[in-house]
Amino acid sequence: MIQTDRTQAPAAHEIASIPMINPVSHLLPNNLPVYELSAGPQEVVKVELVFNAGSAHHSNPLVPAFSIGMLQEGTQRKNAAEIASGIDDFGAFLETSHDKDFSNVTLFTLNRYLPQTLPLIREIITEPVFPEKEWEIMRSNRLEKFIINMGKVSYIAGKRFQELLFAPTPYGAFIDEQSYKSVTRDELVEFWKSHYRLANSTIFLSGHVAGEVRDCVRDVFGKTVPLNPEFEQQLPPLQPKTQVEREQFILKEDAVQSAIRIGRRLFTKTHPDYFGMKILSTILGGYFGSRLMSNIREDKGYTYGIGAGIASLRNDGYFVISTEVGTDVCSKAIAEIYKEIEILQNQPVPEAELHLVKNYLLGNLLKSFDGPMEQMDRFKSAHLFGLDLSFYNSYTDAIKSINSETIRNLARTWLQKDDLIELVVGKK
Amino acid sequence: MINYHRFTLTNGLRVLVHEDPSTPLACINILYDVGARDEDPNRTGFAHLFEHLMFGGSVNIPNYDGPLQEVGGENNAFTNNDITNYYLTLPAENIETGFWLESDRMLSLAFSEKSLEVQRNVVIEEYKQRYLNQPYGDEWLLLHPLAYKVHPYRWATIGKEIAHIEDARMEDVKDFFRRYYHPANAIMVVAGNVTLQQVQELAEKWFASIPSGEKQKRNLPEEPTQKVEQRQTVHRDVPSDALHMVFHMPGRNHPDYHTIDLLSDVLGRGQSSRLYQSMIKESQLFTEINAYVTGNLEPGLFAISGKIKQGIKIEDAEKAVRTELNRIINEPVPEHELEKVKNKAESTHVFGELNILNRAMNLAFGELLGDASMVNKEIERIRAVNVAEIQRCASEILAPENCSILYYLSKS
Repeated sequence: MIQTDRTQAPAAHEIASIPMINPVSHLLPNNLPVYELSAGPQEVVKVELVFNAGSAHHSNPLVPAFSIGMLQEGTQRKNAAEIASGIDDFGAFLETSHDKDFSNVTLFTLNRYLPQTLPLIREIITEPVFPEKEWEIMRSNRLEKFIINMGKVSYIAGKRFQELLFAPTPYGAFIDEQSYKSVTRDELVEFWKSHYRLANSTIFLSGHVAGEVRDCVRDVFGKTVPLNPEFEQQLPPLQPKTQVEREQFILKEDAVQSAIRIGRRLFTKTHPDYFGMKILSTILGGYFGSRLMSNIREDKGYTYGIGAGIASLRNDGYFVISTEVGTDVCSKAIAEIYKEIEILQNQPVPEAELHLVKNYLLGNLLKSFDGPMEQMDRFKSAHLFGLDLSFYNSYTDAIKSINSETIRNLARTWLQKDDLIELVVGKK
Repeated sequence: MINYHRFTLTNGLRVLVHEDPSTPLACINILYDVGARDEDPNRTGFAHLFEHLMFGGSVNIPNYDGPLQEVGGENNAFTNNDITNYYLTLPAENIETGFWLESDRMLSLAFSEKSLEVQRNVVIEEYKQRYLNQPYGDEWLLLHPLAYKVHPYRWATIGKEIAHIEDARMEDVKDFFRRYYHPANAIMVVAGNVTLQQVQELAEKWFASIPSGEKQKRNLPEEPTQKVEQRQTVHRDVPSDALHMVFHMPGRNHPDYHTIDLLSDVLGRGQSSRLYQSMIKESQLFTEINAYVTGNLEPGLFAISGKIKQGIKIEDAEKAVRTELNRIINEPVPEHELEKVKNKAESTHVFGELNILNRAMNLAFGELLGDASMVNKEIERIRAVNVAEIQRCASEILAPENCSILYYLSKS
């Protein structure tokens, strides 16, 4: 028998291309835009209404959040319990969510129960009544959860970091207990009227989208008077940010770990350095073998996890390194983080490592397109930012072609220590 | 419907293959039949620490992660009281790299002192991050020994105490590997854009030469029937009181398991559930509350957990939960309510099948339970549950003497 040589890795194959499905797009009879993506044998469907209305669309970021949460707490014809049953009886799932730019109402259901559940989605969007009792329950329960969360160094750090980066723009609105107490029911109703309107939405369908699904969506959402679609609004102009002290510290006496956030404002997805910074932050801290993980976790054992990445909003973006470390090694960990940045600024990334990261990123991208709902998520991530799927072709090209010199230059341009805010929550 | 093939190598390794040409990916899931329950009571946290060590390099491959990332793959693992499960996903054309990596670390680890030292520290940081540095973090560290006095489920997977992890030595590590990390103690599922023939060839090439090992006889002490209600009160620096009520229930393979699982859904899964409606909406005693089962292979727990609203006494909250439990014991659940939770369970199952790795894990788990085909019988089993069985199980499981109660109180 031929002895297999276990010291030799098997032959590896490069990923040629990522199979991407372009959603079918059309307008309902009332002009509402719908995007559809059908794949896979499982007879399930996800119906997602995205509203151009995130937490940055109100001076109190809790108003959009509470308003969308309250939609399912009562309509003109059904109370909260009846709405919950109306979904649960059919084994379906209803979720409302939001980020700074957008809010969503999402239904997950087996195909065969779409006719029974989808009308309820229209009902909660078009005729919610914001009952006083349910509102007070939601407010006080969420406030109690907020207070619990404010006992966690990681939560405090994540929240504070956003405020430091973006204040006083809507992306950096400050939230405290008073923010919860000051929201009024009237504000929720007003926000619903102005923002959670069908005309301000786009519908995304993914899963097993056959003729019946299409018909159902058309019957439920397409039969109003013709709408003037409002979704493509102009973005508000960028506002100046407050200059803050570079080093920030919030003491938490009983902490056994300190949370560290080091980063800065960056740019949107259309910036020429966007892909480069995505790749750079992967090398620095975007995968298990990254510089930060290899040093601070695998070599020093200071943490259970450390990462770096960039995030994009419609009107801005940021870079952040984040971790929780033992309080006794906090200062050392911070020193190692800056050391790793300096190395990237001074020494070109070795070819072998760069090759590995490129392959890792391509494999990751491949995985992120696997299945109808994943495919639709990728499309949304481009479409909602004014882009299309060619965005991912450009990304693939950037991954394949980037070189060490470019990476080093990006590190020098965007990761200067003076430009980075350093926030520690816990003990130093 | 998850189609699969099954074969066994001469060294005892069980292999399952699920072909799916619609995905560009492939995944390998390897389940080792060892968990926290198999630990020495004076050396707990070991199965989990060992999971970390599996990534520290094997006998022929000094770095596990690098070669996998190189071919566009990623991986992770988890440990619980019952099993340790490793999984990787990668582009299907590079599946052989997965076989190379997994077979080498099944063959033998590198056993480096440096790796042990680092992972000890990492696990200690994990202990702090998850259990000590979070409000309510240590709840389950308390519930395990409260509910179990004899059975190894009496300690949590992370370990009874940090000292056990600090004291782990290389001889212990090597012994653990010899006893549990060999082909006869493992189930491998390969799923995705692969073929049976391809997997058979690769399994033969990479795994067949690994020597078999002795399947350890599991002789765990049985937990005696609980005859008296257990109680514990602790005070912590948290803003709200929390209540946990846990009840003993049969293991995963018991004929009553699905009935009891659905019972927990009727009580406390989702916003239309009884506890949500009565405790959060109507009486407003809780800000959150759930009912769930631990899903352990050996007799596990049925749990009700919630956070008490400010200004409410925990004793009153407990009384209200008791009233709800008595209702479900004494009055048959209406058919439509049972139908509702069955629909939810079926829906969850079907949505779960969208993901290739999920399918692989379910096959591995089914095989461990004795029959991989049970993944395709789940819905049938769920549908077979009836109202009379729910009521019988409710009166057996939710009895006061079967209950362990933790009052987790705010210091302020």
